[in-house]
Amino acid sequence: MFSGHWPWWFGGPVFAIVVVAFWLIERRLFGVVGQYVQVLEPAQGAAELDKASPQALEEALRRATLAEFGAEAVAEMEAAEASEKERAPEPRRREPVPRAASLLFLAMLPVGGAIGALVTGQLALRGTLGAVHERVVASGPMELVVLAVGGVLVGVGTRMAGGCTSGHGLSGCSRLQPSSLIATASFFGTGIVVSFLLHALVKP
Amino acid sequence: MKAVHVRYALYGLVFGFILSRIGFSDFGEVHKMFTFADLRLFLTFCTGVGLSFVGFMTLTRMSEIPRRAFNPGNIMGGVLFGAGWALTGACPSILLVQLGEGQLAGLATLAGALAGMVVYPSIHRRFFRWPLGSCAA
Repeated sequence: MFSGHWPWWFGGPVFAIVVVAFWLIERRLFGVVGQYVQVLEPAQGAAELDKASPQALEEALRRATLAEFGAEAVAEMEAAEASEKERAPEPRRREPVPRAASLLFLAMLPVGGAIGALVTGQLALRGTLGAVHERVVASGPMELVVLAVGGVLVGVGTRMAGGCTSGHGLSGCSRLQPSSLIATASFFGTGIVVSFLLHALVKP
Repeated sequence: MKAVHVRYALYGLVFGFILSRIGFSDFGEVHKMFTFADLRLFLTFCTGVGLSFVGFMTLTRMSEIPRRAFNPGNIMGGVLFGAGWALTGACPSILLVQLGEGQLAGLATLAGALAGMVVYPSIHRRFFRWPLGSCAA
């Protein structure tokens, strides 16, 4: 039974363990597109601001106030701040995931895949996605063209939707989040429609 | 190298292994799922969602988990991604898992997907008003 693909009653619980354990350990929602975003779009605007320490920002603000309004204003500001801090402790700032950690996550996915394929004896260099893909979608050089175009759809689509099968599908749906339920319904729905179209178009 | 790096490397390793063993990286299996020829992957996914729901309900307070607002991109992006998934058998993690298994044709998918992800934010800023968020970022 475990020599081939895992049965659903084993794979499903494993998925759930990953999603819930990731939240419990990291206090973040598990999602793969987020890791790509961390790697591909570092240090833009808000991220830059995140890198500056809160103390440095506060100091800069203090200096600017001093220059603009004089020492009295600074003293006033400090008093107001002190009383505010007493009343409400600041919520803990969330450090962004280090870019290198996201990169390591992505870099280890193929290693995990290689081990998985090794276990089942499927590990082999192949130039196609297999007989079904060649028959149903395209074969020869056209297969690569279709894959590249399909890849652009995957890249643009997941970025536009703000998540993919893991972030919206697993993490979002399991919390009954409306945006994730809608996104998941639309990518599964479209996947079904396109697959049936491909199936219907195959030459007998 | 801090603890967070080690943890994320392990998540990647484990998740890649799981996806490969479940068969999400096998185009034939994904196509069988989408054409209802074999419901195994659907059942795996739905069981995963159902048990995650139970896990979140029992182990966490739902209110402490951040929520994200709906925007039209959830539908439009979902449609584009669904079409790409049906054509390539790949979602963003599968792109890389396929390569690890030796399915080198996946390099074409990966190139397309990276190009799409890099180019999209500027397209987004030009045409759309809603914030461009992403899970876990």
